[in-house]
Amino acid sequence: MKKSAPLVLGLAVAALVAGIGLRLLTKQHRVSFFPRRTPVQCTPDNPYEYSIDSLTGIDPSQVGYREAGRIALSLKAKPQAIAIGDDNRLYAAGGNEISQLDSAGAVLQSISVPQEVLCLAPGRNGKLFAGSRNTIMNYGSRGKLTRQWNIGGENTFITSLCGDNEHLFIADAGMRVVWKLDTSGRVKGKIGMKDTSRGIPGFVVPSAYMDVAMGRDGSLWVVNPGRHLIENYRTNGDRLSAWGSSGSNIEGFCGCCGPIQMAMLPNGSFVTAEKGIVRVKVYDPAGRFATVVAPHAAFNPKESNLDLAVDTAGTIYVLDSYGNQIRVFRKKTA
Amino acid sequence: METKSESSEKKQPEQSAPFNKRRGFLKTIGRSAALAGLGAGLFGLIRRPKAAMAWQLDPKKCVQCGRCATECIMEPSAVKCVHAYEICGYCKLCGGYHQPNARQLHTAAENQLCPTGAIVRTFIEDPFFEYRIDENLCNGCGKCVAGCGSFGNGSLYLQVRHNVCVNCNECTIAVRCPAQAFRRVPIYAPYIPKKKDGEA
Amino acid sequence: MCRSSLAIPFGMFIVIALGALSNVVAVNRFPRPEFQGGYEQPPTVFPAARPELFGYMDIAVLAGALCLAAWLALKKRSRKGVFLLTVGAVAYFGFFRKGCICPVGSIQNVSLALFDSSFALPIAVGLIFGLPLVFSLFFGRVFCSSVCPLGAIQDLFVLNPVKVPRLMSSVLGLLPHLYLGAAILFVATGAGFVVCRFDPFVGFFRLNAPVGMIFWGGGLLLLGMFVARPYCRFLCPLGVLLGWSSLLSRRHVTITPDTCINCRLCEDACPFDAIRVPTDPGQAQEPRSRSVRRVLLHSALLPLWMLLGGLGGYFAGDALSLAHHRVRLAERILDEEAGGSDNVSLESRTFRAGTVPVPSLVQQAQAIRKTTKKGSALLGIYLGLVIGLGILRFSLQRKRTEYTADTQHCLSCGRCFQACPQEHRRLANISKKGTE
Repeated sequence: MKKSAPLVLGLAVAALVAGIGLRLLTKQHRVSFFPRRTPVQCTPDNPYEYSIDSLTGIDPSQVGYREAGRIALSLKAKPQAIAIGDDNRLYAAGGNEISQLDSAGAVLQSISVPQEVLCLAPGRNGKLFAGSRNTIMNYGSRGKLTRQWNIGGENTFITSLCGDNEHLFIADAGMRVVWKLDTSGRVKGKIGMKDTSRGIPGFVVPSAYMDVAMGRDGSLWVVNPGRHLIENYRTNGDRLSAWGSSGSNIEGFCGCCGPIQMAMLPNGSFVTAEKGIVRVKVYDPAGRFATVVAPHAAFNPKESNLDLAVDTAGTIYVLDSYGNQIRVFRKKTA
Repeated sequence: METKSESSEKKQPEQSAPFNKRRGFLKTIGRSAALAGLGAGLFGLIRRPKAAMAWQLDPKKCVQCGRCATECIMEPSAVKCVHAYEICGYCKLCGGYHQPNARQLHTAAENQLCPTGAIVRTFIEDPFFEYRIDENLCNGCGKCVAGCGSFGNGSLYLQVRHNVCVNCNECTIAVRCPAQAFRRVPIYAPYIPKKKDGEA
Repeated sequence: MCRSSLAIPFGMFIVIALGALSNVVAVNRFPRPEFQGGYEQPPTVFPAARPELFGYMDIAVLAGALCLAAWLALKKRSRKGVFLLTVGAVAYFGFFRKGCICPVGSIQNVSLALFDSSFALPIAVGLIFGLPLVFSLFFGRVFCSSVCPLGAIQDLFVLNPVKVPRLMSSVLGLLPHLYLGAAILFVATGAGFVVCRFDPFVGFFRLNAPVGMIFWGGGLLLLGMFVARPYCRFLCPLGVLLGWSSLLSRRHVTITPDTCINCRLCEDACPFDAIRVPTDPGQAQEPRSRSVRRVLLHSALLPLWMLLGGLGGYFAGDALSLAHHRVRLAERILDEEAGGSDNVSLESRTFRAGTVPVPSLVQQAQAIRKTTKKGSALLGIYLGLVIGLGILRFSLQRKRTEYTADTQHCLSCGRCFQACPQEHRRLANISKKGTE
């Protein structure tokens, strides 16, 4: 039963060498005799943890708003947009449905929409404009579809709309332009196309976030998400000004595109929402950081749709799509 | 005693011939039954078009826990970051390339998320930059995926690369994945790529 | 079958155009930036896996090796040939193919295909499972002798084998049955491939192993210097199936090429104690009635063993169910909710961030636990049967008049050949014929 030990060991080594040699010859490298499993600095669970915890902390004194309530939504699909009409009517849309709600969240009327709604804008006298990917739909105060028109081209992706008495402004994130339509739906012009002679750098839109809002003075405010700017245009297309900075600090807009949503307060201040570091902030009319409405801790960290709406009293409504609800924020008094 | 030549034929042991014949017969029956059972069983279980023996991870379930880099038996891991260029926004401030608090947006190592420097940043035209993964350096840790997913479009994602993966019978990463994102896929279509959809 | 980076020279690179692959359905909706300067977006490359042809080549090598092993052990009767084939197996199936997928592990694939209708067994894996068994049905355990990489590497470490006491050997001989049943049970409940997790030698073949595996495999190899082939004899689940099919084998390795002259020279020739000695004819025969009574008693005890086994298995089911990750997760989350642990584990954190509510996880875990308990009860019954039959076998008297290899346990290694004088005569005849 005894075997010659040196012979056995020799042949075992030969087998080892033959096998490894074959592997090396056929370029099966990545051989490691001492597998490194723990890198230098690590948490016990995840040595490669990507943590933004150090950036999401907030000084409580910077939070100038408090949460006044929540309105639960009962839409069948994930909610996409909210809007508040001039009579403080509240609308919420998701999937093929628009709901009009009262302040308690009870559904006053439900409108069925032929296409998936991505954005809402209130019109005069209770009218409502809804935007889907390349279609604008106009609803009367009773929820009847009065007009519908397609705009743009193959790449059109409507993300936001707003209007004044004469025109409708549609933010087309796909074509990186703002369409100017008259009240009958005819395209009157394009705002924001790159034009160095007029000093317009053009919109940089990495993803489907581009928000527009009407200013108090009748000018148009458009978010340029790739450049972290909020730009001001005259309705004839002249670029007036822009403000905003990049960064994860409290004054800047974080991530590659931001802010993802924007709304105007009655006094001309801006409400902005960001993703990544999920937060809602208020900037004064000159573009300086004013206060935080809700910090990162208030939301699901994966939240990527924080549609904003403001009523005439300056109460801020934030769409919490993960929680399927609207969060209501009021300014803290003293 | 008669010796035979090289053949290894064995004379029957000293038991009664009928006993051996019976034994042999029973063995033959048993053997045939076993063969038939084995054949029929395996035949019934083999369904070639659906056969799936490659491992792949579902990017929709992945939580970027970092275990792809540490659990794989290959060193560095067979899981690597893949870039879906059609989803990428080509941003100057790339959420997957830069540290979230990067002071300057250039290629200095302190600004980069990737622990191995596997992302190559190339200027294309203002303001677009191309980000490419060097697979020889990537270790599948998922930091860039986490950054891109939360701050960006989510165009970076992890996939098992089948020129490296040896297709173990039970993937060690699959066992430890907290999101159970690994599953078996057919060897002829072994990837679960990310495609663009309307949501960023 | 294992893939190697032979795919680099041989594999094809599949360049993906939008919508080319089958797994994802989402439509391109948001257009990419417009590049003015003529920049062309590079395609995302998806390198193909090792061509399936190579997998079939491996099967061909396996079949060829099995044929060669059978020929060497039964026809040529060459221990040297078997040994060289063993070395070749370590080199090819071990270090080159990295020891995976092996026929031992393929039991799990077959079980998975049996229990999970969504899993289709690939032909290659079916063949890996079936070929050793088919060869065993005809030629005995020639797979074990020199083809199985796990057996081969252990075989190379047999240095100074000792005889394991019969009783210990019989008790340890239950472990393969337990392992086989546990492997099937864990596959059936979805807990995973336990044979792969506890494979002692694959780490050596891959040249990359966690510390535990190095100790486990290394320990077995060191032990194997004295207790020959410990994994094969006392752990291998495939050994159970191969042993059964070897019992039915048409031809089997014999110690002597001719008639046995009872010279007793081969008694200590087998390192695996697989040689059955002739019974002593001079021994006083037991009265038949007593032996019949004993057999009847042990046959009657069989149901008792099975019942005990079933009960034991049923109560062990709770612990066994923890092998399943869902059960472990549910336990962890409930523990955390009750305040039992200081921190939240990554698994529970990930689970809570998902969409499945905790109660349904608990429900799922309870269902798995129930299935596991049923399965482990069956496993216990089976083990009880094995124990009872083992005891029964002890009480059966078989008359043997010559030295034979135990058809169930002989690994066809051929070490016993050179102990037999008939073999020497045969070799002398061959060389005489050669010189004539």
